[in-house]
Amino acid sequence: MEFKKPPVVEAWIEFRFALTQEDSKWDEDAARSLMKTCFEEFVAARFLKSMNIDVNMQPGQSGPTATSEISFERVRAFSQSGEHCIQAGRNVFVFNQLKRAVWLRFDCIRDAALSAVQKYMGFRNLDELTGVSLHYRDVVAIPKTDTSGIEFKDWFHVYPEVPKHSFGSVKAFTFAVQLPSMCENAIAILSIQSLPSMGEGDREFKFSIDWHVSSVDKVEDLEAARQWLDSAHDALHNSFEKAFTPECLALFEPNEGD
Amino acid sequence: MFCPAIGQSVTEVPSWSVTQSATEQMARGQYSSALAEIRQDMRIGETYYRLIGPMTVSYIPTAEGWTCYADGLIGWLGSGGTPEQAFDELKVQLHTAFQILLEKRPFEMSEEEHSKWVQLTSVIDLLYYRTTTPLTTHEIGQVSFGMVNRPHHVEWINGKVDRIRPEKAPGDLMSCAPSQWIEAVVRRDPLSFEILEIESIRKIRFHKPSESQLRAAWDNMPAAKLDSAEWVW
Repeated sequence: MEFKKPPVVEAWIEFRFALTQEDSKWDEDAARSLMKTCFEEFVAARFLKSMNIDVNMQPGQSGPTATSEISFERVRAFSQSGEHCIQAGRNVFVFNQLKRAVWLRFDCIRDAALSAVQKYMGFRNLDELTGVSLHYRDVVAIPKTDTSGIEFKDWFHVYPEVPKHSFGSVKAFTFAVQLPSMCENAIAILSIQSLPSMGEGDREFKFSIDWHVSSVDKVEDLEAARQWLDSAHDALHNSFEKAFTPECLALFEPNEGD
Repeated sequence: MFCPAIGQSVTEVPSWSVTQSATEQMARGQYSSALAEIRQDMRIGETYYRLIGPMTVSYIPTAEGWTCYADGLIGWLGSGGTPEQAFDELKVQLHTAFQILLEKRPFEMSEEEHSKWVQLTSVIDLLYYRTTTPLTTHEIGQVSFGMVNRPHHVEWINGKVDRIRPEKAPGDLMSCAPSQWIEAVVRRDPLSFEILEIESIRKIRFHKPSESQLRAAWDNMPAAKLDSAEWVW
């Protein structure tokens, strides 16, 4: 089934690499060099760092001593249009597609991601791919018909169930399930969470629905990654329709004949 | 059906086979979303807010543009044509709410305001803000030349004297004549109360009353007639 208004707002593909080989140095300067050499069309790069602080208290010492270490995690940069994002870490590369105007077909996203990761691998001298994962984020807006709220079962086939007679109504929730049989050679996680309301004038209940599918066995090379991504995408495509009721699917405006 | 531990002998496969946590996988998946980012601080113009811990800001595309919200801050949503504009709007909302509530004592807050204040101060580092944000004060003082032939210090009407640092003062302060009274906007360190910068000045006519004039004014003040009814405090 294809839709005129699919609820997808973001898709991303993550590649992970082994660091057992002699890879090149990875720090902020190397990340700047990567951006300049391979991804000049990506702008406004942000350098994500984390700090580890160790506080030690030894017997006999007058006070605690602290050491800190700042480590560079990854660089994140967006294309001029804001529709694409790349994130490069020491052993991870991510390609994000964001919904700004039109939504690209999966094969376009896959090819763009594979082309980008090839540049990253060349720059970093990495050739041992260990895993790949495919992620989709949907935002589903259920129209409010009155002030009484909605019944999840009217819209979703996967939802948390809270006995109303015991606990009353639900105001917000986060819910995640691991689905081992959704896709071959993969761990699939489906998570659903309510999104905050825009206030009293808001005429919709919004839910974020994330699909995370990660490879389990080692993915040998980019060709194997391509095949794995295709099968993961097919599995997600099939599962997507099963997660919603026909009433909900109608909100996404299925193409005629589907 | 809920079946937390499955033995080898179980022949029928239940729909629930709970043996591990989904949290780690989910967190790893979420981390790479470009629709979420971690913020350690926020800046609105000169005002800097350090956050108590990393704050996740999430963005959602809408029919009109973008909205964004921050984890732990219920009731605040920024919206705008781009994600950046949505975040700017969210920042202004938080900045406004924080500054309004900062000026209130706890007993002056309504229940809703108190709840908002608790939320804001569980995200924004209030101690850091109070100890690092300069105080802006409006002060009246008199310029003195001392032993040099230019404005050297200001004696404020509270009796405190501050040396003028020309590099931290507006140019027109240096054109003041000896004994010129000024009204100044001064930025001071919140802990030491030392001057960080004199932002602007206005030359004014002012007369500081002497001790005897003050006493005379007090003595000549008409007595107030109060109601004889019992006062209830």
